[in-house]
Amino acid sequence: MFNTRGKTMMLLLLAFALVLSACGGGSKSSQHSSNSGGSSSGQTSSGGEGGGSNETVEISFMHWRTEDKEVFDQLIADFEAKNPNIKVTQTIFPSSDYTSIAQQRLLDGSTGDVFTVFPGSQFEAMLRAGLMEDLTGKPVVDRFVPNLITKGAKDGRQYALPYHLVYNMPLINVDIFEKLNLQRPRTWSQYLDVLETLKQNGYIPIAFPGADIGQGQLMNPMLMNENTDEEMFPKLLTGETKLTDEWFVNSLRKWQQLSQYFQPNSLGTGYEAAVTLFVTEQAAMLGTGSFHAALALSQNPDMRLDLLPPITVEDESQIVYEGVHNTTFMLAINTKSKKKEAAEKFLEFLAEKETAEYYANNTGQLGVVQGLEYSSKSLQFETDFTQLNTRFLPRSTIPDKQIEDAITNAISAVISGMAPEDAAAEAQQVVEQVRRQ
Amino acid sequence: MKPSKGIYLFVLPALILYGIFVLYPAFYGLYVSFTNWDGLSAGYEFVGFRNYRNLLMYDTIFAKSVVNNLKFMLFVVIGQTTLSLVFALFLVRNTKANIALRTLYFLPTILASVSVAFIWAAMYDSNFGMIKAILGLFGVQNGPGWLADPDIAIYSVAFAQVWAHTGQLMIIFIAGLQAIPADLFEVAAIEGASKFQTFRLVTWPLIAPAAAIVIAYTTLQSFKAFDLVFAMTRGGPNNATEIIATFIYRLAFQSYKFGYASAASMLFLVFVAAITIIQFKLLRTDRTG
Repeated sequence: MFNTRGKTMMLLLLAFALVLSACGGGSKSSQHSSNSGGSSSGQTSSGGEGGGSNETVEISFMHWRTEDKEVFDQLIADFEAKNPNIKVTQTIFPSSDYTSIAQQRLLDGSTGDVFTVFPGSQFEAMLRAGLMEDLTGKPVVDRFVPNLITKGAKDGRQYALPYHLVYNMPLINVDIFEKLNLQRPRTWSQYLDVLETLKQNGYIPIAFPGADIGQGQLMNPMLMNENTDEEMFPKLLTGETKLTDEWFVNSLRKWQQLSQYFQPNSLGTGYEAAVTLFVTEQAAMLGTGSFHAALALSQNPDMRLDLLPPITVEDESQIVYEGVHNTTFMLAINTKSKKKEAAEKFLEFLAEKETAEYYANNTGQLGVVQGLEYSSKSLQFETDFTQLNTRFLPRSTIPDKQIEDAITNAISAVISGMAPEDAAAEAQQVVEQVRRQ
Repeated sequence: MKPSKGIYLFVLPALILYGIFVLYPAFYGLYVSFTNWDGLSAGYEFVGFRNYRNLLMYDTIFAKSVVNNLKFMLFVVIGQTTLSLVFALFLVRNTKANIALRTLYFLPTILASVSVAFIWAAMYDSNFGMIKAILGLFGVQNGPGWLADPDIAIYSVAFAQVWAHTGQLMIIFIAGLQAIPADLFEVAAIEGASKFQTFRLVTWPLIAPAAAIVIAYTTLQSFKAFDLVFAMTRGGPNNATEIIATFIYRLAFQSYKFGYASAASMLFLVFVAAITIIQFKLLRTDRTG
């Protein structure tokens, strides 16, 4: 078909294509082997590493808090005033997409010199990929409350520093509770009585955002006393626990009872609609967490808020935990960053008490930096949960995202009418699949 | 005179680009499907056919996503083809009113899928949605959970897809209808054919090629409906609207299982190819028979 010249031409073409393919194939390994030299795409530095040079270094701060952009803008302006040779750019992806986008952006070091990471499976994945600088022994670590930064550590090394302290349990409208003379329930029966009273008085007892975050939030206080073993979820991978065990099936049975007190078609309700039901006082409780207090108060400043976890035990003496907390929005430095010195300076600035206090009071997020004083109403709840025995968010200990989805899907299945035993069996099937992978 | 072999050099740039941006990623995806790569780490293991075996034999969510995709495709293909044909039949003549209506029906096509998703998610909202408000006027207080009920959620999403693309396919049908010679309809009228007979014996056979294009396009479109489904329901509730594309996305970018997700992508490719071949054969039979 081809003469000799044609064949030579085709061979050259093939060789060219193969060379290009090899370049493409090698990119992954080269990303992992090289973290110095060259310039990154995207936010580029016009000079050296800050510090010694007068040239400006531009670093990227990647996070998921779209709603905090203005507060960070102000803080960044303060930081840049103190460090005129460092410029900080915010790169924000919504939390729902952050997990999927962050990893690729971080790998080439062009974005996210300082970045935030979720505790649990994302932290573990980032750690496996070697994306987080080891912060152990650095002075910045000492500025945080030691027992609240454990989720950013692994094998005694500190890789990330949580910036938010969150209580993942329903917000309540204190005025409605007082109007109906409702006391804080201490058992599951009392809790159901409270919900029934609210319903009888024309309120939606719990506004539940079942289309997005509801299951992942409310499952935590629902489980906190059902199984007090901190390793209950990690043990799913070894087969030591199963989702068909009584603790999980029993929790699903309680979800079945609870779902009667949600607004109709709760699985189709997003968090925005749930917040609206709550702030318009159609609903007495909001099934999310303390992180929505600022949003609720921005829409209804006169509300008095508190947190009320469901206590699922039948006898008060069985209560082990009185709430759940999470430490999240964990700050880390990208190992692929070519501007680590500037990144570290920015991290140190965020960890200063004044900075963290300004951030907390203006965003309505409780902080993890030591000695913070809160002036914002959205951070002052009727109950002081720092004085109570709260448990670290069970969901954050789930070792695999597919298993996490199976658990929240089992809850959705029960809300939509499936028998708890069947929903648990379906979820356990997914666990078995994951174990085979 | 035979063309010089040198002429093949002219396709070289396109071939190279195709190789880099299509063939290489495809074959690299095939390679990754035999590994347990997490998409982040430098290292991974070769796992042979384990990913494929697990997907085909044990993965209940994958099976569910295939079934959901078929439901979605059938609803969209039937609904979109039928509605676009009906609209085309009514709006085939070039009157001012018809042109205005065609423009109106075509408008949703220019919207991004994510915008369509937000519009319909708001319409379906069980608490503040327009559909709830309209049903309320007729005394229905608690209507169906359009996106909340696992039995109907996939059809609710599919309806949004039909709404968005019917106008676009209507244009293809109108072009096909306007190409039919008018004298054929005159002959049918002289022979005393009813409207239905005229449609069955004259119109349909002559617009069958347009219908084949519409059906093939709609089928592929329904497999690529990732953005609409993901923005509306993220595959929920309880995987009721999980389609293969959202399943793959979740595995790769949320669970960090690129090897497993690549295997699912390869099966997806085979699945779409099989459907396309079957459809192609059926439509060819229709045209010739």
